[in-house]
Amino acid sequence: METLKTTAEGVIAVKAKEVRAFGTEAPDKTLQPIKINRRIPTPHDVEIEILYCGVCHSDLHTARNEWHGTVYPCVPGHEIVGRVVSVGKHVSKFKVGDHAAVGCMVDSCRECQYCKEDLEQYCEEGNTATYNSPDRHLGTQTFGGYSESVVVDEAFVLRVPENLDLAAAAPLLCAGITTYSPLKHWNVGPGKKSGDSGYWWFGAYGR
Amino acid sequence: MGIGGLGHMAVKLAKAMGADVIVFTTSASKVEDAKRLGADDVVLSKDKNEMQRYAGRLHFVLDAVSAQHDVNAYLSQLRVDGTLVLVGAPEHPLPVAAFSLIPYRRTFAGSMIGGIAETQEMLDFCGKHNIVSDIEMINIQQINDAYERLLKGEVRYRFVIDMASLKK
Repeated sequence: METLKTTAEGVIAVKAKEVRAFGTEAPDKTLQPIKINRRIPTPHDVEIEILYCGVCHSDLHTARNEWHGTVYPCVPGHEIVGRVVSVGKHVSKFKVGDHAAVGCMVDSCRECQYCKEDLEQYCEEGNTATYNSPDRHLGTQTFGGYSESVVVDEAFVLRVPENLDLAAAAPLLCAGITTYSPLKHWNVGPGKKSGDSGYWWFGAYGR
Repeated sequence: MGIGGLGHMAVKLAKAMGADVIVFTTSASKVEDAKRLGADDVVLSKDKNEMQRYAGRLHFVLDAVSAQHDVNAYLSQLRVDGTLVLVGAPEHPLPVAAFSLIPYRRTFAGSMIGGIAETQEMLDFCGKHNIVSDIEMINIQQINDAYERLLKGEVRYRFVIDMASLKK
């Protein structure tokens, strides 16, 4: 399989290979072993062997088309931690053997006002979600972390601090950032005024 | 009922940021667990008297409930200029009474994940404070059962798939 993609370095041929995954063919079907295509790393790509993948409620919603718009086959998973197994020739942040992580996004337009403000999640074109999103390289839908490997532009690959347990760090990529971002944005922290009892918040649980 | 993947992370992160953390839960059986995660106090949200304890006093409320619920009961916990942020996504619209917002100049908001730079900042923050998720490891072949357990709220608090199992 080969597709053409226009990049800053000109038009390049993007090749792909088959890898093992777990996914579903229809909303009412269970997840089963399937094969999917992953691109061969282009110059800015990092190929990651997936070691652990967290299970988010969004995975289930998407697999079962509960939010509508699921394209099948569907391979969920956006809390990905793994090991770098190959890098494109222009990759500078990662080398083979590094631990690496991928969260809910694998790409965005990178040119709109929000991408330029480090708010790629609110990209005007819509960010390229890790699964069930139009793949900017292969033209299919994107496939998530319930698979043996993933190939992602280094700009969307993250580093996991060495002291953290890799498996237990996986949920930080969605559950962690989903809660961290609003806590930071609204300046949650110790009380700043005298007599202030601090910033109280609420985490109502479950269902 | 079940403590969520989002909520348990929020408790750990907010404590590390220095906040006083109050957890609202529908289940008495979750009180001790919420405190173990770092909550300073736990409110049983089904009890009307309990719900009065912090009414009008909270600066910030993070709503991680994905089921239908009365958001007005939580807006009323906010002090003047307080903000309630939705991160859970209930299927149907949530009715908001004008007088849940107007009298205390309250804000009702939403938020979706974070940017790449902020995600790296979050990971580094977790490294510094030694924060990870509480997980239950599964093999990929157990994923369909895991989904059923997730729906029943039986996971504390996140399933993680050992992807080496894919080769089995």
